[in-house]
Amino acid sequence: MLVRGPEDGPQVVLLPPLFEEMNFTRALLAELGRCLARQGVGSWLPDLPGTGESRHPLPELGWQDWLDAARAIGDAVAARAGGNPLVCAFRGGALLDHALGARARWRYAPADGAALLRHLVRAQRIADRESGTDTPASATVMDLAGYGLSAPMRAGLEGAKPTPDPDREFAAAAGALWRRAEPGRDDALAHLLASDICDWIETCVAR
Amino acid sequence: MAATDTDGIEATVRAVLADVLAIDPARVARFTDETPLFGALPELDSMTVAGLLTELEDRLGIRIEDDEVSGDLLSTFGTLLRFAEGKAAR
Repeated sequence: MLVRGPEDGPQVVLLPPLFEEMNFTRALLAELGRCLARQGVGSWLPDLPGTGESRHPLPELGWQDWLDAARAIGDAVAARAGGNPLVCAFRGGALLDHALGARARWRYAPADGAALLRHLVRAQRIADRESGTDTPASATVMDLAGYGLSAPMRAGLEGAKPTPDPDREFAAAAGALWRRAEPGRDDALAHLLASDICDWIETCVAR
Repeated sequence: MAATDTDGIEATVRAVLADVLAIDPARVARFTDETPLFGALPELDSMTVAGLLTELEDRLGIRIEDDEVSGDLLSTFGTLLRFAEGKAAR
């Protein structure tokens, strides 16, 4: 888990986008963490099991493993911070934020699980067509654009929707970072999001 | 809002190409029906093509099925535009 910012002050778990969208938003989340730290907000950016630095092979995991991980992350941060954290969820991260046990939830461009899965399947089907191969939907593990997803992971993802009524939601503009050909950075957006998050935190504290 | 008139659809397709492929909008504005896409633009890998299609779906309010995606779809700006216009008009 990448931890930034002061230990005193509000603590926020940043739940990142899933799959290739995480690669495209890595720089954004890094800059966001720096902005939040400058505003006196501590942030915690985890690697879900099977992603980033995690040693778990993704193909061995199911959707429930990610829900369990979100719970564990929330508990770990609560223990360190002395109280339940806030959560800021990005894209597919919004499919897991309800499991964290957070005091309040902020979301950026929440994504529907079925739409995320459809996009990965689409990319794999295009690659298959180019190479003359096939990735059957009946496979125990489907290699979808480089992500080995088990049947339980695919089933859970397909049925996952962001729960209704987060405390605040920030919509994405068209042509967002994760739709581009190459990963990039958008420091202006990071600063905008940090401002919105800090403003939201003040409303949380004021309750 | 989904663009449904022809000029709006064309403007949207140009904007999606510029945004997703990071091409200067002034260059995209000069694309004609004959301008080649697939094979002529750099780095059109499968994830990029998927991104193009998903972004077109979102902005035009259409749904593109996997069996509609052939190599011909992206052969020229004209083929992509005709496809988008056909889908958005339904």
